[in-house]
Amino acid sequence: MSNLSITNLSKTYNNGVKALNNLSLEIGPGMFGLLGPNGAGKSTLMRTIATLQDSDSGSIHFDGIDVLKDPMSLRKVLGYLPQEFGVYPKESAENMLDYFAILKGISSKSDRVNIVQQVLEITNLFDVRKKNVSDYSGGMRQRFGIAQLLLNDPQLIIVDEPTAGLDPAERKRFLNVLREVGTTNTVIFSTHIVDDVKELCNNMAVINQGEVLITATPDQATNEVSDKIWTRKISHEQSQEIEQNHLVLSSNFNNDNSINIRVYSDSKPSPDFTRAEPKLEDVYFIALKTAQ
Amino acid sequence: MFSKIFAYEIKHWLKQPSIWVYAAIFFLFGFGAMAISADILGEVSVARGSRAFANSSFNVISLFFDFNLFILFVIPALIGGSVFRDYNSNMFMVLYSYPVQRKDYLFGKFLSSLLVTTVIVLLIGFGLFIGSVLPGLNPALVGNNSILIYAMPYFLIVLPNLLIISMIVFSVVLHSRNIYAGFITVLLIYVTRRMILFVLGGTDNQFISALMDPFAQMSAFYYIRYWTLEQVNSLIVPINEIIIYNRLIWIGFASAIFTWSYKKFQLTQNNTRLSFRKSPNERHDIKRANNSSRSRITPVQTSYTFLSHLQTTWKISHYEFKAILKSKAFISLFIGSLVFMFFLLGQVNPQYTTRIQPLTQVMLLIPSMFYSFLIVLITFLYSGVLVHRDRNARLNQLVDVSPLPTWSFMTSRFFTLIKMQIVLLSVIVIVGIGMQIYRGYYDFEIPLYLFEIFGITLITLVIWAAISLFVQTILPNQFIGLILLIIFSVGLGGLEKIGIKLDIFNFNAAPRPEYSDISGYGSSLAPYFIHKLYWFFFAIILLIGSQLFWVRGLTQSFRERILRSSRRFSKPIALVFSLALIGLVSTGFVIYQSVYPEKPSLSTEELEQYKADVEPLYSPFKSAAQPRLSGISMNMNLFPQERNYNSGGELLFVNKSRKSIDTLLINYSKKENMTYSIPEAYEVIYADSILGFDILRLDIALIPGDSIYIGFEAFNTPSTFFKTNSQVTNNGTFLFSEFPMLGYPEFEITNKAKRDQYGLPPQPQTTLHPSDSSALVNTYVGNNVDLMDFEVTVSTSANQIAIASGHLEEKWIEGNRAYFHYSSTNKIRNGIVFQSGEFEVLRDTWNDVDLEIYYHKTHNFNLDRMMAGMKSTLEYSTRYFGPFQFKQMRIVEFPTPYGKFAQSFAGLIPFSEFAGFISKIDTVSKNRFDSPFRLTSHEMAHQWWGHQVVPAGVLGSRIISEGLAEYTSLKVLEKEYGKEKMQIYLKASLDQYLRGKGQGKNPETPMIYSKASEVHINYSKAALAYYKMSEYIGEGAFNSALQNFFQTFSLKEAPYSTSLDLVESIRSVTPDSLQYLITDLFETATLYDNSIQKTSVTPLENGLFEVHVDVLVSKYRSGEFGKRTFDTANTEMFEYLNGDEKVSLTSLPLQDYIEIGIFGENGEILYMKKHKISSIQNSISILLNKKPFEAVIDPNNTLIDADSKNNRRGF
Repeated sequence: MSNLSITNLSKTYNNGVKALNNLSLEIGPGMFGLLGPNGAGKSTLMRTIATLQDSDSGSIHFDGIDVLKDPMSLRKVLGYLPQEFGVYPKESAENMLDYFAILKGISSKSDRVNIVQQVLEITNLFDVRKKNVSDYSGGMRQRFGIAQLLLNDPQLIIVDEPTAGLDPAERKRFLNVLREVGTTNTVIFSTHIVDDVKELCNNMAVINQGEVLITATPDQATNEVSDKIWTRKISHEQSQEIEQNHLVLSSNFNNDNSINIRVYSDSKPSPDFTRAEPKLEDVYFIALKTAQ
Repeated sequence: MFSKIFAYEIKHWLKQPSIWVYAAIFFLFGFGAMAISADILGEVSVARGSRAFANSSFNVISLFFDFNLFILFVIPALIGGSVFRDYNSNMFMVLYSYPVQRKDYLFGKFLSSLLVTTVIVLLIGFGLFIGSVLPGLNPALVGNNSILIYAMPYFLIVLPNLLIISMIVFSVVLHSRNIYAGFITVLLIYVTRRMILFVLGGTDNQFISALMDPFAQMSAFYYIRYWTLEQVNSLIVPINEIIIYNRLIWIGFASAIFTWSYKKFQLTQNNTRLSFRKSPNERHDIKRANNSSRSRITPVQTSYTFLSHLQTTWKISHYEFKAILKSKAFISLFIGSLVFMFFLLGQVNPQYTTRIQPLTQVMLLIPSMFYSFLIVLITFLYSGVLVHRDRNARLNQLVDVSPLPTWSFMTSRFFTLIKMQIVLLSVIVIVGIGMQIYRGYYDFEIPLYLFEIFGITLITLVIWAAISLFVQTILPNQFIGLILLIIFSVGLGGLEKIGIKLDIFNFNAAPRPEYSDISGYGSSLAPYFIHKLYWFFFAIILLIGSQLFWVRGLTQSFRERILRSSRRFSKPIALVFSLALIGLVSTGFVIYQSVYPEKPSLSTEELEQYKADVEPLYSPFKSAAQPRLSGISMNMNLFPQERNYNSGGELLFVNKSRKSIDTLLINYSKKENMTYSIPEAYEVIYADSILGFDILRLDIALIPGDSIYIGFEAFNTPSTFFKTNSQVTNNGTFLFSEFPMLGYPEFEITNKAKRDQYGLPPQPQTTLHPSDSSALVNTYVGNNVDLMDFEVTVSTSANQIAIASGHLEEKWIEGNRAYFHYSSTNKIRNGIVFQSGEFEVLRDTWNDVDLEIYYHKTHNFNLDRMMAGMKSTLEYSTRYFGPFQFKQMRIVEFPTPYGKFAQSFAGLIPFSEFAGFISKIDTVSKNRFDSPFRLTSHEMAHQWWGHQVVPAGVLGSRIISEGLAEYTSLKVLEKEYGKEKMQIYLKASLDQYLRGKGQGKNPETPMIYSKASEVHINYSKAALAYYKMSEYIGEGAFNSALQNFFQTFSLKEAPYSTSLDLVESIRSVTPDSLQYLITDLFETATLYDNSIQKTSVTPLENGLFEVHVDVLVSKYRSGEFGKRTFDTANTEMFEYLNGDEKVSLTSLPLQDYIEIGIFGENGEILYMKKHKISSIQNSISILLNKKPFEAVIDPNNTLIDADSKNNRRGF
């Protein structure tokens, strides 16, 4: 099956930033969520897999392809949506997709027309195919990004923070599209929004500072911390003291200016706390905070 | 707020590496240009004689104009870049939401970038200054430095230009939100300027050109174009009113654009749209998410073979090409090119007052240089656009992960550039054919268009595309790439100056194929294509370089790119690279071996040393009398297809001295494989195979009156496919025959410094003085030659006619060869030429003289004018001077590669196709020349002046041959067209004289001592002087002087005539009151400074008009270095106020007759009379019966006045 295995990947930038630190990861088919804060190395990892960047050491294999040695073979089965991309001005979606189809090696004109229509339908852009991509809204543009990566029927799909900046409706629509295309392929999906992973992924990893903190399925991960999440309502003045004594995962203000906090602890930290239903978000923060 | 934005911007610029690169480039520019201009590279300097100081104000301002193009292309990058940066980074969305005022934002941006650009541009001047104080310069070329020398060009030219262009470019980029539009604007300004100057070209419009030139180049040179060397070296380029007006006009124009764009600009996020289409800004969205769609797509066939990659490459390039074609920038460029080409071709040949027929070869000739350069510039710009296109659109990550080899990306850009070049080149065909139709010329010669443009020009452009792609790929900043490429392309022109002469070391250089309707491309294609093949291999290597360094993915450092490039150097690429390298080396070898086969056996230095060594040996023979050439009997065989010739014959030399001669000094040409044979017994004293010079001693000396025959044979080293070694061409051959000559050869080193260096004694003056009677034994066409008998048999291929001097005695065909036997009934002057081609012949007669014009079949436009020119000149010259010496007169056309001139030989005028044959005579406009007629009459007149009267080889000889031919031609024109038309011809002569004089490095020579090289004196000034004399003393009297002179010297042997003889003859017919003219015109170089100070008119009651004209007249000698001098203490001085300025005029004593003309509103002559002027200030009162419009002093331009503009004044 199409397994992506990353072994001991390291990358240090010229300015001394260690983006990847001996990172190893096995990714199987299905949706794989890559969680991490800004600057965790997600983009570096994804760009390295997508053959856009070299690593200092380590290897990446996909389905028998040594990605770093033979990038061209990977590109044939790759679909990539970068974190940010632009388009040529004054080009319709249909035209742009036709152009990408050419780049992806589809030489027959009728094949291109056919595939462009399919990806437009999948991404729900068919009605607006004649409009200029530069005039698309953020969500439409991201779906266009998905449309272009589907053109070569990729086995490995990499999408880098695609939901950033989308409004809730657009985000929902986008995730639906992604879910559909992700059922049979390996899809790596990076985000710093935990809910994206929860809704979409059957597997996930949390990385920070170029290292993998945990890998698990979202359910597994949540189950592991059940009974260890506690919550309490505190006042603003108490927050500093609480944070010193407990591993505070998150805090939310209430209308009365009091704060609901969630704390990670094997046992009930104090009587004021009540047990809380574990959330994937908790897992994420535990991973980040315990790693420090 | 303004100051904050300003400071922020300056800080931003200082952090940009590009700024420092520009700064370094501009400093080095100034530095290098000055140092080279002052001969830091050495050698050349000594030979050149006196030149302008490298750091003279004149030279510095000229250098700034040379840099103009570079400055021009920095402006969009910096000034345009300042606003573009905000758009490109989408920063504007944030910025515009801040409480920033439009005023602060725009001026902050504009002024900060203008300041940065100004500082960079100022570095040129700093570089120039540093360059002028370096050690190791030629001290003779460095004058005193002063701050004004550097400040003045900035103040007058550079900074105003910067401001003007910056305002326009800033406005364009602000509104188009596209920095490339800024570059296109600059290109269009550059082209428009060319167009303005082109349309206004010609001497009459210099004032308007000076006013309208956006870069003020014409304005700056308007007042200093006639500067003498002394003025150049001592004066600062002045501020003058033309420059001020020019600057005001253009700054006003640019400010208007700037103000408009300022008003139009809003700090909003939407672009100002110039179109009326609704902005497509509404939100398109889908109704609902479609959950039922298939998640799995039907796979389609993908193909990753080499062939499919090639197809993909083509498709990508097509996609890019379409995008370029659709862009506003390119459309404006294309339209600009069309308009430019339209003006260029519509105005064919404006610098001469004659138009040329719109032949296809003419349509192709005119645009070639500038327009090709323009396309090269556009290629530079678009190579940057294309290389950075994906990155600029932030699409690179999507594109880079596609399964397409890197070479495919690179190659598609290459193809795109070529397609764009083809589109731009097609403008030439479109406008060329359009113009031909417009002018009613329907012989389009489409294959010639296509071959010239796509077969010849395109190759050069394609090679440029390769190098610009390479440079833009390597460099991270495309605007620096653009500047460097422009510098590179312009700098190539200078390679020859620093000693790189071979085309194989000069990028993209090749001998340019020359086309002529007569000879086609002749043999010029093979050397061109082999050079281009060589450079094409080089281009492939550059393309491989581009492929290796192509930016794909997110590479960080150059080190990483080198690592990647070594990984990309795959086996197939290595193979292509090796093949290209082998191709490059082998074509280079072929070129080196076959195109430049002559390797001198001695280097320049060795040859110089050799000459210095043998001079003491040979110099004792310098004054040895030699037998003189008095007859030639020869044959000449021309082989047009093979481009070879061979010749042989006998030369008759006669001892015309009073002594016996036993020593013969024989010169022969080594290049022509020349051998000689002497039947008499002799011994060889020196045989010098290096100089081609032998000294022989005859066993039996030649007694006076005795003669000797010298036989000779000569042939050229056979021509090859790549190299033509003779003057023979496939059709239209024009060959100077060479044969052995007797006499001391011209080999001595002439340069004074070099002679000192080799310890040689100083040379006596090379050209002798006319008063030196010993110098009058030889004519101006060579030593030891007199008029001679001539007889020749010339053969050529059977389909051609061969022509030589002399009467055609017989012609016959033998096999595939045609033979012509010519012999001259009269003696002819030396100068033996042969012509051969497939000609049509037009025949006519004048009295008993056969007149023939041999012409290319399609060049029949002006045959009647040329025939008329021959007849009228025969008419005039036989009437006034003396008989015509031959029974026949021929004009024979030759192809342009030999030149664009006509030259007179005995009874034969070889005439370039471009010199008259294809002129288009405008019979409507009054300011048009009849150039075929004019040129024919000049050359025809040489049959009297030059061929019958052959001046001695001394100073002043050319005022007899050329000067009198010019005079005769003017007189013939006057007879043909009437006196009114003469003004334009005289004005043209005056302009030529003044321009030539301005360039003169030495003090102006009096006419009678003019040197052969002083064309402006020999032709132009002489024409004016003779014409003036004939005006003053009357045509009859003047011509009688010429007739006396002619009869004394016509067809006589030594002593030959001199300018002194001619002047004596003129003097004898000149009345005492006009004798001053002889002194002023011939014996000194005298100029006038005349002006009309005041005019007034009073209508009288009887309907008449009383007219007062105040004129100032002064005259002076043009002394050393063009200074005004007065060779007598007896001068007159006069001071007057010009505004607030006190002007003082000094003049030689005046007793002069000067013409005053009054003209009516429609240019009709109301009054025209010579007034005797005896003081500087004169008041003239005249009664007229019509209302006057304008008063003119010397309306016919017969006086020489450096500034004739103030010679006219309206009422």
